[in-house]
Amino acid sequence: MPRLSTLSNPTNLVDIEKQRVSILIDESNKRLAFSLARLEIADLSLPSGLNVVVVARRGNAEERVELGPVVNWNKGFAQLTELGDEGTWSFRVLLVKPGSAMLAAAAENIRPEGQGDSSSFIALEPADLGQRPWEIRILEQEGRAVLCFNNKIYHSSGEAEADKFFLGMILPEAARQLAAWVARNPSALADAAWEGFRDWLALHGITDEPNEENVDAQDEWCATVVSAFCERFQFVTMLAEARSKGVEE
Amino acid sequence: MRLHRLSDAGRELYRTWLAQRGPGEMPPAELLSSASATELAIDIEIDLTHVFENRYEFGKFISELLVYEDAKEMLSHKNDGMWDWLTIAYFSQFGKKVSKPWHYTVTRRGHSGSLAYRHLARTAFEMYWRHREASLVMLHVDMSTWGDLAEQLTSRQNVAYHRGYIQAANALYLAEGKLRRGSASRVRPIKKRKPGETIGKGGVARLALAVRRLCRTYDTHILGTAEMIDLLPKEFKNFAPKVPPANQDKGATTSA
Repeated sequence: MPRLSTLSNPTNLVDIEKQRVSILIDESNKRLAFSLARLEIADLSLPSGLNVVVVARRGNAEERVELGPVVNWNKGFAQLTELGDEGTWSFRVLLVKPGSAMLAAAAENIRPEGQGDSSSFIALEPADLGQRPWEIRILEQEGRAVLCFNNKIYHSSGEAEADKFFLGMILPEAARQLAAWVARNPSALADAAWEGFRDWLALHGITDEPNEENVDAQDEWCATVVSAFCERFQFVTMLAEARSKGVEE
Repeated sequence: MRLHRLSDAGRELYRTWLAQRGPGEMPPAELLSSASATELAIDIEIDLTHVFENRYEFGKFISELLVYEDAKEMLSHKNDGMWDWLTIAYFSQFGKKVSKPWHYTVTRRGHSGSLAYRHLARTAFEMYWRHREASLVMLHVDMSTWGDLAEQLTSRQNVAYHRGYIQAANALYLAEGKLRRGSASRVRPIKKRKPGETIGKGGVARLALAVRRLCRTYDTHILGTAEMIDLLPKEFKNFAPKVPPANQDKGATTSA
């Protein structure tokens, strides 16, 4: 199967930028629901008569919902019955001609309002984790990972990010776990979704793919990734500074 | 007998028994009908002497039995004990092999998330309820067999619930109710692969990748079976049926 090229666009699919879309989610009731509150496409010169389809994703589950014609789509909350309670939310907003399966335009990887929108390959999100302080979840289809922190410790990702000790101590291990997953699944790097991570590796001089058969070589590859990651974010300097500041105070 | 479920105490006892059971052993009789280990789940009669040719037949049988029930509620946490009880009720068929416990008891927390999809009875019902005849591709096996194909098709919800994907898999990989040769093979890592080697090409693992790529340009949920097979890369041509499959029902208003 030839690899998809990000440079070709044989079906003339129009990419809708994330900034043009707003999605709200409602988790307050027993059932989950979402609303496509905003979709600004007036200046995109799209064909007329398109319908809106939203694919909601959470964890490894997804659910497709039709919202009607783009000129007057259903802005009310649509219930989602197939998704579980856990995992990171993301949405696809698709515009299709009635009776055709080919996409005319699409907005990909839309995060709902208030859930943050980290484009980094390790995002931070609050989660109910009982007594576990944190855990990492690999989002295979999105080519990134989410560091879920216990929402009893920090209420928002901003709060967690502000705690330099949390970041400095936890992120290197999160990076190692992400690298270890990639090392065990090296074919993932060939997937378009993992392009961002692949580019990041290349930017830091890591051009060798992990060795699928040799566990020691995999460990070595992971260590290289973690070193590059720590070097990039200067965790030790950051932690030392934060500590000395704390002592001075 | 009426359809029962295991109580919490019954499930605990069942799990303990599963952990130490040997080949050919049957669950303790109390797990089927004692008041301490079971409770009435639904007031319908079930024939416990029925012999099933494969898990597809079982899934169909239970779907028809539960036709007036809310299927999603049947699959909810609350009814985990019912699926365990059904496994016990037909243990002479489900338990011919000694497989991992999650095939016989609904396991919500495993080493990598929920393993509920690996339950032999529950998944047979769920896949038949969702995909009807097309579920044959993953349920054509003996009652006691899980199988690599079922693992590949059901381990990810976004694949397991994708109507077009399962219908395409059914059309590509089954011939006269049997799995076609090479369907479940995987492409070997590039370092192990010989030049020109085609093992695993066009197989079910590659289908997941191909459909995921198609999703970038098509609303794959509404593609009919024949349309989807037409859009697949050349490597799937060897598996394509000689007679194009009729397009099965397309996506409804809301589909997973």
